[in-house]
Amino acid sequence: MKEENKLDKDIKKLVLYRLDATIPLHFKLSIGNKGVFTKEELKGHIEKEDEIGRIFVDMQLEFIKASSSGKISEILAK
Amino acid sequence: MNNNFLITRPNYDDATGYLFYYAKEVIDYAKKIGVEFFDLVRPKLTKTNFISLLDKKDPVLVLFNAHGDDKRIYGDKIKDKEEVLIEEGKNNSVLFDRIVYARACYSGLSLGENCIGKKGCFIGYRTPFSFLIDERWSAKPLNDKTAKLFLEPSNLIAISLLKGNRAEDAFDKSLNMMKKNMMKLMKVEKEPCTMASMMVLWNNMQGQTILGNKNAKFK
Repeated sequence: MKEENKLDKDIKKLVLYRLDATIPLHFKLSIGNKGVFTKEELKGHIEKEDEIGRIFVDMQLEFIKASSSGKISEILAK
Repeated sequence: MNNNFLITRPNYDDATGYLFYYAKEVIDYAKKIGVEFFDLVRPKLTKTNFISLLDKKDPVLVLFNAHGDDKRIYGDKIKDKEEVLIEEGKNNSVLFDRIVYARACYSGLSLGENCIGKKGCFIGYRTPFSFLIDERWSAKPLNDKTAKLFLEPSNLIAISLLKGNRAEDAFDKSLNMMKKNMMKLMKVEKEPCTMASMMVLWNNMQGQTILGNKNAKFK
């Protein structure tokens, strides 16, 4: 993988922290046609920065951005 | 076209297994209101049967519970290989002028745009349709309160269409239920997966898309 395609180190750390903090052990995440993943499996995909890991990172970042920009509050308040 | 509907329900992995059971709630509702439907499950869920039913019964509404991508919607896994039911550029025209709800990821991208025809409507997802599962309930998916947060709002699209709502209204009702579920999560102190559930609901809300004739109605 080229260096410019690598995930930002801090972003990766943040997403891994949030994964650990927000998904209990007995829960799994079904991601479309990619499969159903435990927390540990998701960690592995994020560490590898593969397609599944990147989908999860995008999902987290979209949510963080929408929370911090006020977009979620705006939609919930409507 | 006829006032009946066709529904596909594969069940060969954890994700399709959950969709299989939750889609049963749509079927139960159809039975309750006396709507004719064609439920394609294994071993009848094949491309041949699917196309034949579209041709012979001409349903105005098609509900997919499936894996998908931006060009395809799949059916069952046959001999270890997922069978493609609809493929852009090959047979997408069989869905022209119908109302389609595809609970399948990325179906609302290029494929959806090309399944509408002149007066059809396509509801799908531009993102991977996602949901959280509480493993303790995986043998009884309908009792899984976490999965319900994501799957009930999507069922609502199908149920609202069966009630005769406009496609856009069915779409909006589903978004509203997702919003309500997010609000509900914020109010509960000890929900184990609050932030993760909100993130996944947000992903589905942002990804859910409606294309074509938003005024289309089932009846």
